[in-house]
Amino acid sequence: MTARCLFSIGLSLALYLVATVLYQGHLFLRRREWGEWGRKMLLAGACVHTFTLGIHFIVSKSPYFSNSLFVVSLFVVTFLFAGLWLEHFLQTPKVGAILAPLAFLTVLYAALRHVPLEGTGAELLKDGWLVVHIVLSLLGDVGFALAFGMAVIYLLQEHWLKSRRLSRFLPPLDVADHAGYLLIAVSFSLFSLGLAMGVIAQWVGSSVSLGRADLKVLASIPCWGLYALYLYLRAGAGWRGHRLNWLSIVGFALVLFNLLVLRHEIME
Amino acid sequence: MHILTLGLNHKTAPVEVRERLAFPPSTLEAALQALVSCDGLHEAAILSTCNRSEIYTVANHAGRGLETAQRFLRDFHQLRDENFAPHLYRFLDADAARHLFRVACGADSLVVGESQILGQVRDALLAAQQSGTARLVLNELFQRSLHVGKRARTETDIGRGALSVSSVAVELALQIFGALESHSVLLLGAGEMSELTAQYLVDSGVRAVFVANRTHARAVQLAARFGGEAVPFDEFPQKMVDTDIVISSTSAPHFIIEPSQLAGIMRQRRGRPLFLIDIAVPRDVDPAVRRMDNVFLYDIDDLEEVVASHRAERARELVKVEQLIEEEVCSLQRWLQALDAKPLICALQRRMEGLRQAELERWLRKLPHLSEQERRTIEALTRGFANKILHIPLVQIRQFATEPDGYLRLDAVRRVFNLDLDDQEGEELSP
Repeated sequence: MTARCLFSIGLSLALYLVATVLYQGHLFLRRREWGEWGRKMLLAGACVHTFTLGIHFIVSKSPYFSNSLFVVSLFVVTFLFAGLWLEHFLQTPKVGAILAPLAFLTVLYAALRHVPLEGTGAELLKDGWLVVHIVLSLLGDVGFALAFGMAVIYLLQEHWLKSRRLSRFLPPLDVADHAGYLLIAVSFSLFSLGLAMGVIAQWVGSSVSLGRADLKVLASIPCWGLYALYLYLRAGAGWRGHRLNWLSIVGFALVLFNLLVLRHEIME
Repeated sequence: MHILTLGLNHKTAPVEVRERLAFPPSTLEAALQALVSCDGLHEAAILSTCNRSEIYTVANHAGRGLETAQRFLRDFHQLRDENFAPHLYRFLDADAARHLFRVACGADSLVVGESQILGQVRDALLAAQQSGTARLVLNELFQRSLHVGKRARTETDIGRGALSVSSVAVELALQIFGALESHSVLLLGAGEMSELTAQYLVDSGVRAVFVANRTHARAVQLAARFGGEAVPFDEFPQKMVDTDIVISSTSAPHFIIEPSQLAGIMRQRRGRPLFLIDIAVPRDVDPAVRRMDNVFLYDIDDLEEVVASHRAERARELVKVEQLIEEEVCSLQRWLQALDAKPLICALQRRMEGLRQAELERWLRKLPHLSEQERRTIEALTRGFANKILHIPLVQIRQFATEPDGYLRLDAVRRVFNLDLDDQEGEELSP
């Protein structure tokens, strides 16, 4: 990894740290302008970070994900851009107040402990089709994660309202519900494309050959199916509310299980 | 020089006394001019609202100033002392500032944390400025009170949380739906509180109002008031399919909305949230509907419980507001102290001494051949020169301090020499 890359990532880290301080100051010291500046710093940090990734890939001509830091960076910037959109949609700086310190700590840890990706995993990441499949699927997962957050917020807000209490901390019920729906709609498209790329990669004969009963592939079917059902019920049949948000939570639980627990069975 | 406050409010005087001491806007200018022309009073501002009438003034002698202000009230309103004097409160200097800051923050209001008072304090200042009766001290005092009022509402929750049943209903609707522009409200029955709640919702931007009443003519009349539509009473369940907020206050002796009926409505609504406000006694809505998904039911007790919790929250916020007020009172006191003569004299002497020493050092460096005796002679020369220059200004400053509105002249001296009076600990330098 070049010194310029590290310097750039260091700059992003500094911006994330400043954003963290500004957001916390907005929440606890009630300085309204700090929240606005926090948002700007976070956006600037995400842009610098994205620029760094792009320049690295163009200039270095190295394999797409040759280093764990870049994998983490892709996750983080996706979360940040989606989170900033969510913050704008919900009209609350509380999203950034959570994302900014998470981004700072995650990237700092990855920068201090980054390792080159070697072995079979690194070989796989040289295959273009596979890379597209992985990136799109992960982007979809990020959106599902944020939608999961919105579903949890919906259920919390619903509980508070049913308990006849007002929570000024949480966004309105309908707004959280609508934000979750939009996130799932976009993420489902990305996830579907990602799965399709995986199928195409197998079909055109990528460097990777999977077993017929690859669990990770099989488990992605119910994931996809649950979210498809969600979208059908929401957009097609017009349903919304309590049960659909539980559907979003169950869907993300499946996604998480698939992502973290299951592995592809790669044939030699 | 002292800041004085003399007045009464809803806590110290009944309305029949307060109304006799009120200052209608048309009389305010004459009152301010009359007040400031009283012997011993230099500045004046009047804060007159439905719950208080207060005079703020600046005088050299506190006791005489308060007596003069009371005499003004008696003569201006043509009253006898015994009719209003027992209801008056009097504050002096820091207490006067503390009182005004509490008023501006809404801490002294009938509804704690209400925001209307801040505008009223601003209007009082504007009136006094336009009459030319608010000068250095009262300008500063009122400006700071507006600043404290804003700080209290920004940095604490003293102004948050609705305090009436109707406004709580709106707050809940906003918490469920966010913006109300794409939502409609259905009124079942016609009661004063349900009409008031509907009005609040209309003011908050609901898209449409529907009214259903057993007496259709009454429904038509009420719907016309909100620019809405009357619905036959028998058809209200069907109307609930499209309406997100229902306010019920019929005189029915039994439930008119029950879980079995609502289940069908919610299926047709496909789970869209439904907000039911049951203001009727006896209740119109079966409480069992609370257990249904996406249905939010609040009866009159629930709404009043929310109001009570908001009141308690505002009362808790008062502690933070009082801390804020104390900070600002201390800051104002430092500013007031700077208006006295002594800090000004010290600052002027320090400035002159600083200049003298700087110039002396600069020129002595150019004359390295001078003996110690010669250096001491030159030093005495420059010191004598500086003292002679300062003598007449210092005499004048001490003279200003004894004059009635001398603090204005002292402030002018401070500005002319651009003196920083933050260091209040200095002693006057001897010549």
